[in-house]
Amino acid sequence: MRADPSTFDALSNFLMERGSPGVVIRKSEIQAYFAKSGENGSIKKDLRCFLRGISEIHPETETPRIRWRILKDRNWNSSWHRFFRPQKVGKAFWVTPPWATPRTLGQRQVIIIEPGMAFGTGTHATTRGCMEFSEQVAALFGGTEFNALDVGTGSGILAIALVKLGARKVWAVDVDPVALKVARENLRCNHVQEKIHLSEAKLSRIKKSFPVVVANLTAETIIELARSLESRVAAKGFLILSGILNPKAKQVINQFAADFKVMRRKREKEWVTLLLRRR
Amino acid sequence: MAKKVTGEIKLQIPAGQANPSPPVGPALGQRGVNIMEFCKSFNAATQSQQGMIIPVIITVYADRSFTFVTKTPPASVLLKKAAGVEKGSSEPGKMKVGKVTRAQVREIAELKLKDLTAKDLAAAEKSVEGTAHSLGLEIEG
Repeated sequence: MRADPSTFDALSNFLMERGSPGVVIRKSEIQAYFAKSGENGSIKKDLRCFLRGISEIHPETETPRIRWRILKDRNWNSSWHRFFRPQKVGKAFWVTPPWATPRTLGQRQVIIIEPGMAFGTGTHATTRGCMEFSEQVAALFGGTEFNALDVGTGSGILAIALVKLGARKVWAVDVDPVALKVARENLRCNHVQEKIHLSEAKLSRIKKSFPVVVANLTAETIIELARSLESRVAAKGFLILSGILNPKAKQVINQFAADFKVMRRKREKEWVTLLLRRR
Repeated sequence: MAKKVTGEIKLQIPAGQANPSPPVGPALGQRGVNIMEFCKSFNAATQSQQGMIIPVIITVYADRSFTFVTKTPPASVLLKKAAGVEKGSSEPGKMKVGKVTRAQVREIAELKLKDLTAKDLAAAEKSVEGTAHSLGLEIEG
C-alpha cells in the first residue's frame, strides 16, 4: 500500500489487527501479508472503510493506493541461499557457505563461512583483496611458520585464511561482541579454533609484534589507528590494509610512508587493498 | 571491517516471535540476509517484551552481512495500552473506541521522540495525537 508516512503507524496497526503477522515499511509504502482464506474479501472491504476514515481525519494526506498480489508459498528459510555460492578467492581458496560444495577442489583449500551478522562473507572486494595479499605474503615465508594479527576480524575469514596459509598462531581482535560470536562459530566449522586467539581486546592492549598484520577496516579507522597498527608490525614485517575507498588511498599511504613501502596495490571497484612492508 | 551499507529493511513484528514466514522471509530473503540468524537474534533481544510489536531496522552491508536495531513500540500500540483497549477503530472519525489523556499523549511522545522524525516534543505530540485520532481515540484535557 502506498500511503503518506504520517499515517503508517495507524495503518500498520490496522493491518496487524486484521491478521498480518507484521509489516514491512518502505519509504512511502507498507507491505502486509495475509494467509489465503475466506476472510480475504472482508479484509479488503474493511481496509477500504478504514482508509476512507483516515482520509476524512487527515484530508491533507495523499489517498492511499492498495495493490494486492498473491504470493506463492515457498521455503522462505532458504530463500536467501541463492545469493551465496562457492567462489574462488586468489589461487589458494574456495570460500563456501555451509550448504554448498565447490565443484572441484584442485589445490585450493576450502573455507566455510556462514553468512550472517559479521562482515566477511567472502563476497566483498576488500575481503578478497586481503586474502590474495595474505596468500602472496605466505608464499614469501616459503613454508616457514609465522604469527599474524587480524584487526577487526568480523566473521573471522581472514584469520582462518592465515592459518590455512601456514600461520602458527593468529591473534584475531574485534570490538564487536556479536562479530566475535560469529567468528567463534566459523573457527569451529573450519577446525582452526586451536590456532586462533580470538579476543575483544583493543589494539592498544596488544603488546606483541607480528610478521603479518591484516586490517580490513575503513580508511578513517586505519588513519586513527595508524600508530598502533604500525607498532604491531615486526621488523621487515607485512601490513595488509583494506576497506579503503580509492580517493582515500593516498591519505592512508601517507600515514605509513615514513616506515613502510608499498609493495602492492590492488583496486577492485571503488575499493583499494594495500600490501605494505616495513623498511 | 569495511562496512558499506547497501540497504535498510524496516519491519514491525511481534517481540520474540520472528520466524521465516512473511513478512520476515520475503523481506530478508530478497536481500540475501541470513533469515534464521536474524530471527534467533531478534527473538533473543526482544524476549522480555513479549506481547509488544517492535519496530526493527536491519542494515544490510555490501557482502550481505547485517546488523539490526530495535526501536520503541509504535505509538498506536502504546496508545491502545494507555486507553485500555484491545483494538483501534475500524471506522476512524465515525466510531470512537476509547480515550487517552493529554498527559498520556505527552508521555508517549517523550518516549517516542528519539525514534520519530519530529524535530521537537511539540511536533512529536502532534504526530502521536494524529495516530490517536486514526485509531478512534479521543483526547481528553
